[in-house]
Amino acid sequence: MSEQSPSGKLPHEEPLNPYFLGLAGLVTRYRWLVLGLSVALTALSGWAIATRLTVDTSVESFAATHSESQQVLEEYRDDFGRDDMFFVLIEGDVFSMPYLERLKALHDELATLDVKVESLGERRADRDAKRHRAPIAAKPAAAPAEPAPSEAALDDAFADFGDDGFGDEGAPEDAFDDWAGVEGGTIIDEITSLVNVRQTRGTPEGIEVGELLDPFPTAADLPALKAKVLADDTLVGQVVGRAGRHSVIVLRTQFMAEADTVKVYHALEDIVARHQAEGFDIRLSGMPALNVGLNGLMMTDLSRMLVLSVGAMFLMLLFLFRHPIGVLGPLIVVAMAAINTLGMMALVGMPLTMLSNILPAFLACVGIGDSVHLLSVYRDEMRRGAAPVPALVKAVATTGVPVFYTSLTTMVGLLSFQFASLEAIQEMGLAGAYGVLVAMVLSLTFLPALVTFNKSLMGAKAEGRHDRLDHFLELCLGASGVADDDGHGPTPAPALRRRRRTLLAGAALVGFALFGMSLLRVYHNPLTWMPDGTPVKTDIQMLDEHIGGTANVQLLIDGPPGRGLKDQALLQGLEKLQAHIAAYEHPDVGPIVGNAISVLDVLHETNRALHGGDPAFDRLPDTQRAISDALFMFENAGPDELRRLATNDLQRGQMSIRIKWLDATSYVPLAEHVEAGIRKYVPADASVRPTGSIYTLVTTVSHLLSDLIRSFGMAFVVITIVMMILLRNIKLGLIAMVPNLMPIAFIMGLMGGLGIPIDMNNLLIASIAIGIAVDDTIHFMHHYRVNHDWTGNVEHALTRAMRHSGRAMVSTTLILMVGFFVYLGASMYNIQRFGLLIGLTALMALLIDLVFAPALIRAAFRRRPPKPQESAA
Amino acid sequence: MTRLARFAVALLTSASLATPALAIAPDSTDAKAIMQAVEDRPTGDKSKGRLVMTIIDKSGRKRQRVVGSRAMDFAEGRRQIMVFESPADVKGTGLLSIDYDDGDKDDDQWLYLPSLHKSTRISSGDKSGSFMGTDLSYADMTANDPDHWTYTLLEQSATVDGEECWLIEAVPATEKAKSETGYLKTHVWVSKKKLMPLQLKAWVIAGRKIKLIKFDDIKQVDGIWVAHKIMARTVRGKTPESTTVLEFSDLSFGNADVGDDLFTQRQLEKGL
Repeated sequence: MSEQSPSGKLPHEEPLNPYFLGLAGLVTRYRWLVLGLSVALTALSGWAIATRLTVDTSVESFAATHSESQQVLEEYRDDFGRDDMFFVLIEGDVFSMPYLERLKALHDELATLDVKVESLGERRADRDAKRHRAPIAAKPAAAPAEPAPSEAALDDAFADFGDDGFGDEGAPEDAFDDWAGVEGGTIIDEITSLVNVRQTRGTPEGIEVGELLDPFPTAADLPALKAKVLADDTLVGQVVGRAGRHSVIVLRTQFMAEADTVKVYHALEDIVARHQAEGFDIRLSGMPALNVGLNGLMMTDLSRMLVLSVGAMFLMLLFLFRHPIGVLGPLIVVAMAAINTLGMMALVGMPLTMLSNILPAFLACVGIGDSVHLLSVYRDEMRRGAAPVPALVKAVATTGVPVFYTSLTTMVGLLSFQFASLEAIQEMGLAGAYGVLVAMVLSLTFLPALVTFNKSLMGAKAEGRHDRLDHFLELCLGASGVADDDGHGPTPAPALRRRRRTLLAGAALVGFALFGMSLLRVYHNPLTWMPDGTPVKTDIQMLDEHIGGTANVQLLIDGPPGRGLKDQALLQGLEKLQAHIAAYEHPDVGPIVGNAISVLDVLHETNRALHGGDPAFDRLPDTQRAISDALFMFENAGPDELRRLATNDLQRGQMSIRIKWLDATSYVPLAEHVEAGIRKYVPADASVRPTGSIYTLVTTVSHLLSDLIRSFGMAFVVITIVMMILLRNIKLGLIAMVPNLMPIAFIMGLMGGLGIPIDMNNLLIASIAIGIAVDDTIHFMHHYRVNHDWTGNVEHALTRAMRHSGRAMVSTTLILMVGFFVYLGASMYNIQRFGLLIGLTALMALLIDLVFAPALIRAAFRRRPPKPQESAA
Repeated sequence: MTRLARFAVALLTSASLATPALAIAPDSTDAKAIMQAVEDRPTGDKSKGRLVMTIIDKSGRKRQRVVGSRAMDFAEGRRQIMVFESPADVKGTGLLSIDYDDGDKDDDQWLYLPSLHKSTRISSGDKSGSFMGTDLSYADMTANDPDHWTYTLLEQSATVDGEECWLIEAVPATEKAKSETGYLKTHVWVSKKKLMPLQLKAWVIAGRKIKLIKFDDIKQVDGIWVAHKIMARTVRGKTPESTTVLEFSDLSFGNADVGDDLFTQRQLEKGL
């Protein structure tokens, strides 16, 4: 480059970017307009957050919605309702009168649970809208004997109701409106416990489908009851523990939004608290309870930590700038970026998920970085004697380019999540990218407008006086071998030695990182995030230990056309499949498969009952017609029971299998075992498709690693290209990727070495690490490139780059380290790890950029003869 | 609720006589008297007909069954025999039921299954459960004691399909009525002209659902008003969960060939 410096002081100062120079001029001239607009937009976002932001903290919000198992799950829910259930586990002497009486009282109260649920019945419409898919098409009747009434005509008939009779009470197809203001009713779809578990009894004259404790037993009946129940394999593990010390009430509610599930959870907690008694120790558990409990803990911990982290950053800013604008400016930028991001999410209908919880912390990294660089350069200019406004203009004009590029690369990193298969990660990427953009715009407009009110030096020492930071930067230059070298003649021996030592240390670090990375594993188990003794964790463990399990596999069964579930060959295949699944043993944990419930149970029970209760007939009826008859009989006696297991046309059914709680990856062999069984035992004209909570976890987690690699790959390619464009040099662009990647490799290696797994929670650490690493590199490299173009001397360019951005880089890193190490005080392990790893990333990124990168550049670029300007100077 | 049951079901087999004006004045405001009059109206004591049941679930799956039916009043209550004509896999299956007038006595049901070659007595503990997978419950199908209900006249003159009705609210007055029907309350539109309900809306406690029942295609058969079509729909939240359509044909009353001997287990095993 041979253009003249706008300031005319060659080569003392690097050139100013004309675009950012213009922007700085506008901002200082219209500062009130800039401040007013920023505040107004933030207020609008605040309003959107208050009125429209939705929260979806279910594990399922992470689910790969287009995965096959998730689509099967949706089909399952369309026909059979909610697949996750609350479990109320009660410890005590089950077969004693006080226990059973209390159980009955609790069961009866839970059965009538009534909570005002706003999202009732919205699932289907929501789902259809969300998937941009037409509602499931009506399935044609199997050769109807008579012409069936058309659905449109039926809808018309019920619409007429509204006009003629129900008009003043709301549309007849909106039961929610009809129930508005009506007290009573229950949102419980299904409740099962020892009190009402189905009993198909053979009587001398026929069969009776009734409830286990109807009539309620007397003390004299208890020994017989105990013997009978504990001998019944369909009850042990379903509603009662094998030792007779635990029983469970299984509650299935209607579909509702996550916020309503939280309400139901708290209502259940209240009821449970009222029924607690000695010898009747109640615990509320199950997947919905786990979700609510886990999210509650996460939210509390994260918000507490966020406050502490902001406090720590505040103190650090105070230490560095000692001025209200210096301290509050960056924090206000971060807060406004976060508010605007959440506001955008609210406006476009993006829900807040467990992932987006991390957004404020993420934006803190980005916003603080941008602001601190600007403020540091501004302060350095003042320190050199510039007046406040010219100093500000110069700060914007020299930091504008690197701030723009750091934001661009961070946005690329986040937008690369569009290639992830999980919707929540895609949305988080979009929202994060938007937040980065807002933080950049605010750092370059709002913050300078605010800074125009400053007149002081912001705690900086006058020029010529070295502070500790200057000493530290010199130390870094020394370590990289730059300090001992004036860039002329052969490289002095000490400088060469130091540079080689530094490069060797860098290579060793890479070696360590690669080794650590080879130990990385995917392991997603939110229970391990909680310290032992956390009630939610203990409850799940007790449930697993004593009754069935918390997780489930659901099989969605479609019978051959016409015969459907009555098909004898299909039923025989299902029996073998059930036995195959039940026989599964996990390589480490042993048996993990609990009870299975399906239409097979109904057929066994009915067949036995039809043969006078003879246990020899506890099997499928022998002929096709006998199977049809047994189902017909059962349907007549217990149609609602059958509806939970099969659709009304008996074409489709479900098998629900309880599984003990493990980490997601450990379910992979089970999933393979189930699929092998399906291939082996299910006839070709039928279909059995597995789904359920473990499938949601397995498919979600199986995508994590590939998502991570794909997203990283994309981000790597794009960031490399951006680096080359920014640095206008292919070689330098490639070299710059080394300090970009090293901190990330170090962090992943550290995770592998420390046994910290890749899970849904810390997947994002990598993206934040990219953001931090690239930011430091860009600031350093940009100033190196500009100064090198200006001076043609590698050593001088490195020294000037270090002086220009080194101070800001150190300040930013200190603030981030303090802000994130505070997270080590969290109670949940995943949040502690998050803080530790981000803090260490910031430290490593700084050291690599200030020590290793100069040595690498120095080694890669040969000296050039000095440019004419420099010799002239 | 006033034997919606009987109405709904009444349709299977009997119907109200076209003489309601004699029972109660159209300007009556006494809800209980109106419901008593509906209750007490004479019904055809021997009936036969054919019924097509269509059930459509929320996913649009349809299931259809065709049943031949006979019914007759006895001293202790009503007996009814139904034999399935289609689909093929249930053809020949039969159901005999006795709905006792004595509300304290459980109803009796026998089922004939061709594969067993004998009839079997069945009973279910839950009367609020669905009848054969339809949107109607067993309780809808059997008599209810008016003394177990509290009636309030909501509207003296409501209109349904252009016909003047009383709109009456029925609330279970006893736990028995509440648990047997599973209803929190019902609204019934009773035709002043025909003294039979034209439509009904029930608040179903389990799941906070709404059940709508519409009596349609009402024609006189042998001087008796009969709804030839009953539509029932269960709605939860904003979504219809399922819909049942019962269509009656070949209805006749006072049939000489409907006699005592038709309502026995032996006859059940032989078919209609």
